[in-house]
Order: sequence, then C-alpha cells, then structure tokens
Amino acid sequence: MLLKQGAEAKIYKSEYLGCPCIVKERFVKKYRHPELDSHLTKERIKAECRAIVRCKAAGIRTPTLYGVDLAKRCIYMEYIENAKTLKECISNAVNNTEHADGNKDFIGPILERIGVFIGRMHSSNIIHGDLTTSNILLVGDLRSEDLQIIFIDFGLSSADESAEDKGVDLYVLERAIISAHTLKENVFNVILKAYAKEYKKGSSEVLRKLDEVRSRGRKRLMVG
Amino acid sequence: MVYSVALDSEKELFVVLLKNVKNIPEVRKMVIGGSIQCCILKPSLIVDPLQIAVAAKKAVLNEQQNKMATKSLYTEILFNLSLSKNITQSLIKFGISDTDKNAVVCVIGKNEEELEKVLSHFQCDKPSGDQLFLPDNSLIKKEYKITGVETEVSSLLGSVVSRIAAKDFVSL
Repeated sequence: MLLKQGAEAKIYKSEYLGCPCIVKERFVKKYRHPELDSHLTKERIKAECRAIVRCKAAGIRTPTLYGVDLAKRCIYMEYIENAKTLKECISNAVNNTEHADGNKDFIGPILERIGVFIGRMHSSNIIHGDLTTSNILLVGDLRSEDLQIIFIDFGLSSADESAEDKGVDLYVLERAIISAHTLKENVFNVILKAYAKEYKKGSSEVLRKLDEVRSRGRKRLMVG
Repeated sequence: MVYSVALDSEKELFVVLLKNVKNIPEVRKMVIGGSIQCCILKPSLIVDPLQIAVAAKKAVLNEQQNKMATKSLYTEILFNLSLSKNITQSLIKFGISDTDKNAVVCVIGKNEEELEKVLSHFQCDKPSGDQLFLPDNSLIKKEYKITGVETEVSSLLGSVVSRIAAKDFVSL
C-alpha cells in the first residue's frame, strides 16, 4: 500500500517478518548516470541507517530498523502505530478543535522535551537535515509524561560537527513551528532553552549561527 | 512452543528453546561436522525470536545475492547476530558452548518436520509452556553496546534489531 511519494523515495506500508512495517524505496532517477545514481542511492541509504542507529544510541527514539536491501534500494523499518505528527498536534491546539477549554499549556512540556532530544542529536554530531514538524511523531496522551516522541525521516541526514548545519536544523524547525502555526515567537525559545541545557559544550556557537541563518535564510550566500 | 516465520516464498525459520540438554558436546560436534543442519544459540543473548528472524532474513538475502561472509546459512545467522566483523569471535559468542545447559535451536526449512528431525538428536526436557527465551539483559546490553540513556526511550529489542540490520555500515 503506497502511503507517500516524495522526490527521493516511495513509502509503502507492508509487513516484515510478521511485523507491520514501512518500506522506503528510493527509486531510480533516470536523468542521472546509472552508476552515479546507484552509488548515491546506496550512500544515502547507509547514511539514513547510520543516523537511525546512532540516534538510538544517543537516547533519541527512532523507528526500529528491520532490514536493508541495497539491491532493491529499500529500507524496512518499524511502522509506528497511532502516531500523530507534531504538526497535527500544534494545529489542533491552535485551532482549538480538540481542546475546547483553550488550554494549550501541554505544548510547552512537549517542546521542552523536543529541545532536549535535538540537543542530544547535535552533541552526537548527527544532523537531521529536514527537521520539520511533520518529521516528529507523537504517540500517547499529549498531557502525559509517558508521551513518546519519535524522530523520523533521516533521508537527508549527515554526520557533521559544523555549527552551521546544526543552526540550519534549528532554523528549519523554527520556521515550521512559527510560520505555519502562527504561534508566538517565544514558543521556540522553550526548545532553544532546553537544547542549550542539554548541549552544553557547543550550543552557544550553534545559537550564534542560528542568528546568522535567520538574517540570511537557509541557503548560504554564494560569493566568490 | 515453536516460533516460526516465513523468510521468503520457500524458506521458513523455526526456533525452539530446549532446557537441560544433556548431550550438548555431542550435538555440537555433529553440527560442526555437518551431520545435523541447524544452528544452536546461547539463550542468554536472545531477547526475542524477531532478533533471530532479522539475522536469518539477512542471511537468506545475502545467500541469494552471493554476498555471504561465511560458508553456510547457519554460520551466517550467527555472524549476523553479532556486531563483530570477526567471524570466529561471532560464532563463539553466539553459538552454544559445551558447558551450556539450555539451547536455542534454529532450523530453516520447508516445514516443521525438518525441525523434528533435528530435535531427535537432543536429549533434553520436553519443550513445555510458551517460554522461548532466557535473556540476560545486562549481558545483551554489553554485547550490543546499549547504554542506559538508550533504554530510557527505546525497547531493548528495537535497539538490538536495528543494530543487526545496520551492522554492515554502522560502527558504534
């Protein structure tokens, strides 16, 4: 069953060894030289698996990896049941459809925990690469401490120490949270505060870079 | 109780836990000599049958693509279960040793009769109840390099299985 088709891959829901799973198939790009295409695809698949496992080791919940088939260009991973994206949760809260009492206080603690997880990710030098509110899943009661926060789609991830890339990760998330949901800007500060507390050594440089990125946009100016 | 799962359209994996096996040195010799087709694992290192299934599925795939690191499907399962790239070490670590009393027996075949045939060589208690494994969690965490910060948010099985699947390109 096809769930989603992106620019890089098709996402199916299927079964792997009796477990419900997601199949991520990176299709052949005909406009590329075949050898280059197969090489790039294999490297991307490996990078994605590496990030998933290294995130787990750093204390970040990611989907369980079941199998990799480089010949078929597929990754098989855990299908997360009953998940909502952070995007859905924030827009529900903002539109007050689900919470008629108008109480949005539960968003704060969730964002705080997200800040801690991103701090862990970056202190392990894992760059997510596409840190949007659609790539953060929530499972369970939004007001409970047992709420699971799961990071998905490491298809653009890389291993890098650079404060620049980390700053861009934060910038992408900031834009996703503030612009798409018309939330107050101080909401993102909750994330940054928790992030800095978790990532003591490098966060000040990353936050400086974030300011730079904010003033010029995500792409670096190409001069010279 | 026997655990079974299809690995592809032809092959099925069967797994069973045997307790108080009295002739482990004898069957171990037969497995190494090739007169019994199966692999025998240390129960303490197995969290769940899915862990073996993921390693076996990978072995079957590598066999089809002629990419096996070891000589047989069964040694390939032992090798895949381990994070080490050292084949001998992997076989020693995950395979049964002569002093063990309990054993996890895995057979890949078309039907359960092939498992029965293998089991006829073992002198042990009758398999009873639905217990499949006797995991030693602290040993498993050590073997798979899993720390406390990881088990706070991920299940032990999820951590183990992900490492097996990504073994070829992740080093921790």
